Amino acid sequence: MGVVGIGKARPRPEEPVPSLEDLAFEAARAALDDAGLERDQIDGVVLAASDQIDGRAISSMVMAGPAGGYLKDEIKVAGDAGAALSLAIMRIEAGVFNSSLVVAWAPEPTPSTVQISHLAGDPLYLRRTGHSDLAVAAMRAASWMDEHQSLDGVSLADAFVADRSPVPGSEEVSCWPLRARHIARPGGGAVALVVAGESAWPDARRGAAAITGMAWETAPYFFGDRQPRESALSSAVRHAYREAGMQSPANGDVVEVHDATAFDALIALQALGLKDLNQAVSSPLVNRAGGCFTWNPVVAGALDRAAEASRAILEDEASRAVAQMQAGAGGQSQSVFVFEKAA
Amino acid sequence: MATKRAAIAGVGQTNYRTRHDDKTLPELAQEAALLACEDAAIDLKEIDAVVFSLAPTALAGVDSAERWASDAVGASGKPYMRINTGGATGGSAAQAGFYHVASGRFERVLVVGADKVAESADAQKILNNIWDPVMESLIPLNAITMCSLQAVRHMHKYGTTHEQMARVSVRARENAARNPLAHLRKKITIKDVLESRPVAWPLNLLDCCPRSSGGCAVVIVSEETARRSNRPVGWINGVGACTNTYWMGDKMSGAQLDHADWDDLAMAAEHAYRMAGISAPQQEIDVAEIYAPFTSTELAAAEALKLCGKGEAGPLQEKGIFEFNGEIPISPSGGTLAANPIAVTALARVAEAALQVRGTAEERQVDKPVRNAVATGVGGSLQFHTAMVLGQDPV
Repeated sequence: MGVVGIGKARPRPEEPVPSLEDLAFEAARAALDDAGLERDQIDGVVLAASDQIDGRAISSMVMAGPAGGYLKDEIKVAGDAGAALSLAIMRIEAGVFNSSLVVAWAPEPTPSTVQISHLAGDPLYLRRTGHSDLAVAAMRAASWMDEHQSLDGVSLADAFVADRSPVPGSEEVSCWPLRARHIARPGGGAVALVVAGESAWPDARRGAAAITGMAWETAPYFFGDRQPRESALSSAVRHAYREAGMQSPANGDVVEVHDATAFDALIALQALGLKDLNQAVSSPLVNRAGGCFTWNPVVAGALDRAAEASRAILEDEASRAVAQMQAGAGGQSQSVFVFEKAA
Repeated sequence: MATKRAAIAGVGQTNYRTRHDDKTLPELAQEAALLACEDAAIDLKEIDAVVFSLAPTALAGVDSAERWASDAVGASGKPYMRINTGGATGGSAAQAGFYHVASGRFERVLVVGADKVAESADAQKILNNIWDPVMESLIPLNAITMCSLQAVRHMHKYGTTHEQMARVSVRARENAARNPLAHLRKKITIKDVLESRPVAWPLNLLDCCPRSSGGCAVVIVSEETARRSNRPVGWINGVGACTNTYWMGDKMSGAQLDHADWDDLAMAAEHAYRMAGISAPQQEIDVAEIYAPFTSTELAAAEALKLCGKGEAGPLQEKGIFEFNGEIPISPSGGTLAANPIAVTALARVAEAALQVRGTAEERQVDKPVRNAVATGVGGSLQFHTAMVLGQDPV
């Protein structure tokens, strides 16, 4: 099982704002071209998107076609690109499919994900408290800093952002301890991967980034119930690493963490086994293309971590790469994938 | 054939009714999950992974309601994902659960969901958000008129009559009378259907599904687990899905697939039949649980499943072929016309098909032996189709 093609579509400031359909089509087409495959050679399509962010109920109705799903076995995982990639892999492992497109997107301009996530609070208790993805991310950051008081969390977060964000963020407190500069600004775009079983690798233009380990897990819905705090993340790391036969990233391994906030990145780096955070935040092997602080197409921003990890393998820039992806408030759902050069 | 065999070992359904004021959406899903686990003789803690079946979350009034429901269905600390393919969601979710097991990664997977369609402020207004807000909001296109357009085309192409469509609803209610979980169980006549209030020609009120609330769950297990339990199971022998274009106008006049027919469902079913080793559906399918939110859709679906030829479903009803004691009973549970909790309606088709092949459908168990059953799902602008073949024995 491996990634044989990568495609991305990113709005360009000098051009008219593309439609969401354009973005998905461009990314899917680019992934197929990268793999050297035609759509007829793809068995299935797995989509990852959020109706609420797209602003349409069942957005895959209009998006499945541009994403390559016309007259294909297509299925959509809501809001979780890591789970979508996992499902695509399982469909191939089941022997029913030999290849799959995995496509995720977010519209440009992107609506306020904070306002949308406010509606994810249960209407009986949480919504009145101002619950949102931002609030829970802030609680997560505060909880982590409290647990790691020997570390200067804010400085580490600032250092992580410094090398990756093209535009310095503001000092404005968004939700303590998160300042605007610690939050990756959502934007539009699409990411697509072609995933294929080994029998398809010889036909792939650049070979494959083999997926040697994968795991995904969900934590309790209420942040206060998450004890230990990062049990889903640590469990996903443990299972993925066990499958890949590794203990932690070695020197030279590329690491892609889902840095929706800088503190999310710190927590993920630590969980993935990069114990020296002072070194990790400035490492050129971590979020090499800048991660979400360079481009954050929300749900597709998660899939972009797998795309960048795969790219490192396909372009012979690393022999192993790890990608961590998350979804839900405070990273309720966590996915971890390990990629290695195909033998 | 899949790498690993998988079977449905447990089925759980709440009763389906207009409102469940006594339960939140997570609680409804939990009730179904616990019933399914009890039926499979396992504890919820023994589940390895969970797939949540939820169509437009706006109907629940909570964004990403699967996250709110995650603890209630035992997903904390486990792999969890939510599937959304509109009305086909339950069928797609069941297939996702199948792939979890067939991949060899999991032994016991819970597929669960719930909906509270009638408890949203206005279900039709929410469903109208599936259409383009700029171009299509100007025309009265909604979930009902899109099906009436298909019905008109089927009538034009094959001479299907409203009376033939009405017979579908009469049969559904007769079957639902045997199903204590069904939402609408009162028997009706063809005259009742034809004289009911027009909704969108040719569909009258009694040609249409109800707005239902309820939960459904199935437990899918590996072959090893199924054989160890020594309990009746429904083997998942074939799966298929097909997504057509969103644009209904592209399915007219010489288009690749005609809007009158459900050739997209036929493609999904063909894949499922091939996996299951079924080459003559009319002889080999014993029960069909069809996702048919409107009477016209059941006729098109029966033809697409090759239970009869194109255009033949309407007239064939008069021979009793699709009746409860007929050669190929359709939706002995009452089907979608008797209960439509959108997020899990297609999952309920899978659940009911599993009950039939296991011989555990109680009063709604058809009299004939059920070796193979097919369950379908449909969603979007009649564009997402799923088909699953269940068997008494594995292939």
